[in-house]
Amino acid sequence: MQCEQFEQVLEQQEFEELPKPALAHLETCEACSALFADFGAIHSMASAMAADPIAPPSEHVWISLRNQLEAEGLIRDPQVPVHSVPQTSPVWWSVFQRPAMAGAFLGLVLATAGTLSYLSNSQSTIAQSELTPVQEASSVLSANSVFKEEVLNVSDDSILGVQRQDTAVTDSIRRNLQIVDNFIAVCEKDVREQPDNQMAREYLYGAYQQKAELLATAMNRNMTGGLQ
Amino acid sequence: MTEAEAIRLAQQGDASAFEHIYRLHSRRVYALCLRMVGNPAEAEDLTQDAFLQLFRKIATFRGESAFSTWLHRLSVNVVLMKLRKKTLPETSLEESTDPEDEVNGPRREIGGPDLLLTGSIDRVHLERAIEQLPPGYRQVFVLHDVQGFEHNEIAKLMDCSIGNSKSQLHKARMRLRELLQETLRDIARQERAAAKAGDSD
Repeated sequence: MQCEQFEQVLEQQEFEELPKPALAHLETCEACSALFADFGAIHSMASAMAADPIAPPSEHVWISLRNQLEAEGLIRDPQVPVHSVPQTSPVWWSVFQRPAMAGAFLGLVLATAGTLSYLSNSQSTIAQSELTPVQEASSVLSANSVFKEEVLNVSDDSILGVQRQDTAVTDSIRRNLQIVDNFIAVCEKDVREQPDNQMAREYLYGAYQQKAELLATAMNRNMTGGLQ
Repeated sequence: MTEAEAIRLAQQGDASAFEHIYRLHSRRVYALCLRMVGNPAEAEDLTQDAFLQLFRKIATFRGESAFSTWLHRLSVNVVLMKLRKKTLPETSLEESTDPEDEVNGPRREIGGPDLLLTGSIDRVHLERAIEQLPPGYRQVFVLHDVQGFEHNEIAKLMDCSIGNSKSQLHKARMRLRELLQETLRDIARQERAAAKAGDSD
């Protein structure tokens, strides 16, 4: 058998099925023997690769997939998280390990805060109408790019003002701010760990905006209360 | 939660079961996609597509075959379907077997000097070499040598003849050998240069 014939046989047969003439050629031909050995080395290393997968896909794959499943109605209960959390963390915190769920929850929180704010403000319609420019200013503040420092600096003053008016609403806003702060911390961690992850940046930006909106609500209530 | 429980719950639309299944298998599916297409962003899209199809069909899974095998085949189909649609000319088997188009193909080196790869190559080198394969070679190689499909299965999956699958695999291995030998030569050159620099110090 010549080398070219051996190569043709090697192409057609699995390693363990080589016919006797090919095996005999291997005994005498150093080049074909090396080729056969290299093919064997490549094959065994490739087989081992399947059981040893590479890095996981980025988190946004699951987020997008989940959104799609929700949109198609395949998921029955979109709020239940699966990840187990460390024993030291409170159970509710596991929700915020998943940005999509945290985002959805924060949306709900903001809607609740908005409703509470509306109910409270509706008791003083006249004062509210006089304050429209202030509210607009607050909306502009939250709609524009709100930097973290600006947002953080105003929080305590706003809450103190609200505190004087309605304890239930104040507690709600305080709780919500705490939730948003925790969410911001998670997002900041994600951005630090994956600086190129656009999705993580968007979540962080969204979290800042949500905090700005909450604080705008708190400040608004503070001013409204002052006029009551 | 066991896989069987997760499958049963997912068939009822349970959100946590979907995520459990995803976490259990996403690495392997992603690895398959990445090795098949050689592009992380595209591999992520394909992973998402594969799981989307899986979850759409999960209610029909009756457990006749292993779930992982089912998912595996489904993923391969998703990848191949996408590749057929998207880059048909690039991944066509006919094109890469055309004797006129052997620019990236293996060169016959029978009788030439050899560097034995056994014990010298590692997984990283092989991964890099696979990435450099032309798409047609890469797909057959990944399906056969990495994922363990038989030639008759590959022929069905890729809509080609068994002989074509064998030919592609052989060429892929030849090209890989060449690439890995180049890598070994580079390493040897670097080691020599480092030793020389050490002597002159």
